[in-house]
Amino acid sequence: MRKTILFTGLAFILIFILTSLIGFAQQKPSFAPTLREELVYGFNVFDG
Amino acid sequence: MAKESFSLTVHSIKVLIKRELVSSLQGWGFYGAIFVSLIVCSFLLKNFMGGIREENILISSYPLNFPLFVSVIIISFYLVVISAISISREREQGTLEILFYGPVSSFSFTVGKYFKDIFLYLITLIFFAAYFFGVSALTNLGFTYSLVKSLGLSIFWVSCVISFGLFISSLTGRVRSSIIWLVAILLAFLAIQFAHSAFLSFPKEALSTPLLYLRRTLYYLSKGISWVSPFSYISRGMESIQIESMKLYLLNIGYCIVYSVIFLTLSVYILKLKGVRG
Repeated sequence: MRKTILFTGLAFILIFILTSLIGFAQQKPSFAPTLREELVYGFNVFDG
Repeated sequence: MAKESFSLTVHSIKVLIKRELVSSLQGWGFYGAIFVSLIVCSFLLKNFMGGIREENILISSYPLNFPLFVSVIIISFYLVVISAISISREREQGTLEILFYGPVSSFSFTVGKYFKDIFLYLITLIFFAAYFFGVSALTNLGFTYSLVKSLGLSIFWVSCVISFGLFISSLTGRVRSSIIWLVAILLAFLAIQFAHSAFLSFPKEALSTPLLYLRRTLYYLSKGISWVSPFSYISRGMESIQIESMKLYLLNIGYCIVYSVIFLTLSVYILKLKGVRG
């Protein structure tokens, strides 16, 4: 019983992580900025 | 003789860690805490992504640091509760007395409990690292060097939280009183800091002399709390990462180590003083 909890718990967390990641992959913005591009883009907006 | 006693202590610490770790991994609480912290994290990240989609821009140097900070706080609450009941539960059930008939001492018992919780956090950290790495790879939110630094520093924050919990547990004889004490102390910390910041919003001239004294007292109290409360070490560490100061980062690690050593030593001393029956 206790080993069942261990494996179920681990499987549950892994499945949760995977489903969240799939959700994020679907939400990815079309331009998908990298951190650097995102910052440069931000500065460009403010610089006009 | 001294060498034999030392190896016996090390052996009993190892046995305690193994026994406790297996017991924690075979319970629902640990997975529940990870699940709650990851679901809150996912919610925050979903909002980030929604913000980018709607406004086509997100200006943030460390987009993943805040979700990590929140996850660590949530898992810290779980760890502080389980460490706060760990000694008192064994005391209440009488297992502490049985253990102490064997080669287990106050020192090995406390250190065993401490490292068990640290190992639990290290397992959690593997899940966190995998999750954030996955999020970064799929969304392009940067898995930055500062995030790696935060993940590293979080081990030391959690060390403070655990040693504080063990300290509370060594003071109390029952699980219920441990929980009540823990909640009362944390609420008192929160109330003092809240009252202090509320007083700061008033100009000096608007306050009467007794209120000025009260404000001064609250200032000193909240200064003290910022060194006693384990949760202030988390926010202080986050600040050191945000301003990118390596010196402050290392200093924060040093503070956390000193804090943990002091509270663990106090726990061992109190456990010895109060005995196995409390």
